[in-house]
Amino acid sequence: MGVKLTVNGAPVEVRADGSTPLILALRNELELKGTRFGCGGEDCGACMVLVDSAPRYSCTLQLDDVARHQVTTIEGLNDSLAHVLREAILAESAGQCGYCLSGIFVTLHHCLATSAQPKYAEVAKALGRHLCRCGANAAILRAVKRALERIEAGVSHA
Amino acid sequence: MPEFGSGSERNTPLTERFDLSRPGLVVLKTGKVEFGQGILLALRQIAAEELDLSADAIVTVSGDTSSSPFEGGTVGSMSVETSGHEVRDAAAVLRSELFDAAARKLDVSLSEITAEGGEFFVAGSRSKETFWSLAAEIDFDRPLGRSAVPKSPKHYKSVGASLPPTHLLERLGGGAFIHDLSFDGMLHGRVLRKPHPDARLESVDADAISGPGVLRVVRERDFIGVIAETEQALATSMARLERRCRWNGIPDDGPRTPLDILANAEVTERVLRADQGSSGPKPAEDGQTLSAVYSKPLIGHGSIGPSCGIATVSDSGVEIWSHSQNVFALRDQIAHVLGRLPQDVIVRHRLGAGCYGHNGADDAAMDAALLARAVPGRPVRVQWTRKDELCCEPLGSPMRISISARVREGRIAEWELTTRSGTHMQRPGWGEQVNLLGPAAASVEFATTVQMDLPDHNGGSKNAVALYDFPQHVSYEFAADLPFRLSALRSLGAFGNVFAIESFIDELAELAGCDPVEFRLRHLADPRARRVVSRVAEISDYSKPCGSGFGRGLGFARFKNTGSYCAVVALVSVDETVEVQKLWAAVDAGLVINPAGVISQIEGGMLQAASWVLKEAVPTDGTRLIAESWKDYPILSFAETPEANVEIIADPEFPSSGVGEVSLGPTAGAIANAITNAFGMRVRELPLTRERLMKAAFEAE
Repeated sequence: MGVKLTVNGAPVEVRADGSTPLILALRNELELKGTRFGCGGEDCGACMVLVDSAPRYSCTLQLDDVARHQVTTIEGLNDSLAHVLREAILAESAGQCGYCLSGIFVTLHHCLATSAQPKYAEVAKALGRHLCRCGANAAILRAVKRALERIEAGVSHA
Repeated sequence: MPEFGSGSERNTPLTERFDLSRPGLVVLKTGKVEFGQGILLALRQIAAEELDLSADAIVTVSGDTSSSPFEGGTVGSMSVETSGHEVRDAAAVLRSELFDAAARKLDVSLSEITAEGGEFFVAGSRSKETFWSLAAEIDFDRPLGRSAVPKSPKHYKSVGASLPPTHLLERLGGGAFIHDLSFDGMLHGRVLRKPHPDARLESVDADAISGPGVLRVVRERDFIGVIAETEQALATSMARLERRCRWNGIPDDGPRTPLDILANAEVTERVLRADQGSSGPKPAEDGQTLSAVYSKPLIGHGSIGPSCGIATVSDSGVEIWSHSQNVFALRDQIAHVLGRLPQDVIVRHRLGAGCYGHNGADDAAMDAALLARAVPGRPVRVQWTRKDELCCEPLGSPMRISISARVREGRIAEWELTTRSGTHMQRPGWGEQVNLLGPAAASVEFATTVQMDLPDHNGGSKNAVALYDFPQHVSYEFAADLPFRLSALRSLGAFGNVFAIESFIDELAELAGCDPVEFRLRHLADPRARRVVSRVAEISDYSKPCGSGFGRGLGFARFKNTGSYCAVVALVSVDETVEVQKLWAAVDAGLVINPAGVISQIEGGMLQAASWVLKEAVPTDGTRLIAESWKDYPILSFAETPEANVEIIADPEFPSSGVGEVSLGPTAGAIANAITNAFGMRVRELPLTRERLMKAAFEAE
């Protein structure tokens, strides 16, 4: 028994039943604890990961669904674009408890990485898949604006 | 008044506060805990200021019953007010002791010594002595005393500066939250919650629950839970358990809403203030009179992360990990329920997801402790489901506020307010009861039988007295037997009371034919109150007309009438949807430690209040809570998020006051008034949904 997939660029074989939710495999088998459990029902986005570069809820995906696919978690996002995002979060104090932030980071990274000229409205709309309860929403949206400005100013994310 | 008497450390020794055994670092021990509000950063800044260190050189040990000073709970926006003060005094003592030791050791006079970064300088030249080389010279066991004088705010360098929240970036990875803890041999457990507080477990087919990875089914009266090897095995077995349990005793009590139940509840009445009689304004007298009734529904905490706790129970002791707001009270109740001595139980705090009051954290820890008894020596981790959160966490009480007043010659001449509410306090240990779900299900001995609110001007009567200068008669009708589990939720009764007061002030301003800002200022002598009201009107262009379908509104309060001052303006649009476009706040919290932290708290409070005002009411069927997912209890989304702009009026002449809860009531008033201005009609029942507005318009025709 074992499911083969690629996580954060490295091939892994997870020794768990194929029906195991992806989030449990990531957190408990692979010790990637940055992916957060929030609701288990695709409502809050705390568990967002990238599967073949598309944002997916890891709480409802099963291991079998991602066999032989590429999974990227918050721990795997360390490029220059991630750096721009981190700086923007810091500058805008964009978060309070930070529980929702890993999932939001994954979605934002995806939006900024896949569009040549990402528009604020599109990025903000993508955050519709996420909830924040501390009320850091406005600060997070300010961080999005700041990151877009940095990108527009030519900070390459190549 | 704090919700729980904060511990005093006046006679405690320095060793309970500081540890200098790690060169280059000062360990600051605190009983206060972090839950996203930034308190640990603020306390580090305060200590760093007194010691002329960078905040990075201060590390905290927080909320550990075996090593932190007893400081009560992290509640009531009191941490900077009380603990901040104590940390400042203690750091001043440490500094003074270190300087005395340096003078002795270097054989120079105190006036020749300075310190920077923990290193001592004599007449400007670096000496070989540091805080850490001299630590051994200090008697850390001597009681603190209050002899050392803290720095004058005029010389502050670190306090008052915004520090970047680098902890946020650290939390992006794994390991930061209690949910991320993992121990050798750790098992996973969960308790099947009763479908109703009155429900009794009639029968369960426990054999049918066993399966691969299921270790134990634990049953004690109505308490039933499973311990499994993995989270996946636990989830599967819990689903089976739910199908195999038969419950009885669930009342069928019809379509009454929590507010119906409150309206018909038996109450005890207390008069909070009586400048005038309570017969209410008589229409026969001169001037104009007005009466109105406002309400707020049952609301929830809705933390994004579910409650979590880990327990290991063995013969030698009990070790608990929890995101409780009060690790000491939790320790005492766990010891009580498990029949242990408090000193045999250690509760250690770990960060949970955002905490806005008494949520399920303590329950989850107690669940873990009760289950862990079945597997001595092995850690048991409990994590609630989203449905558990929605249906079993303590809730914010419904409230009903009636106000009548007389306006004469442009001023409020009489004001009578009656606020009605269930309790806002049912924390572990409150009223000498356990107040936790697991023990209550396991034994009648541990059931909560008496609901008791906080003392006057706290709980349901917090901010029931208006800060304005007019004669008031204010009373509190406390309903002690509401059939819901109610406890402290951010700002407690202040949210409902300020919503009602600020709405009614606007109604009276209109009656008096006066601009609402001018009307407020007319009744506010307190210069700090006047300043935040005037300032927020200014930065929001309050008096500028806005287009059709748009409206501005203002709300103001001084939290508890003794805390921070906050005024909020909302700009809303009412069309196909009711939207808050923008929020402005002016806040006066006295001496500000970390401006970025204050802005974050004020703004977070405004957005949470916007969510409460526009959307939230816990769905019920009679007395049963029925939400299954976030879809049944929607909260403010990113698409609905207004822009927010906070201005701090910092006056170091006044002592620091808390900011965690101050913006919620004023925001409710501001949004309600703005919607009324945009829509032309007032709805007095929260939440102010489009459906409610349409219904009001329909009924008016």
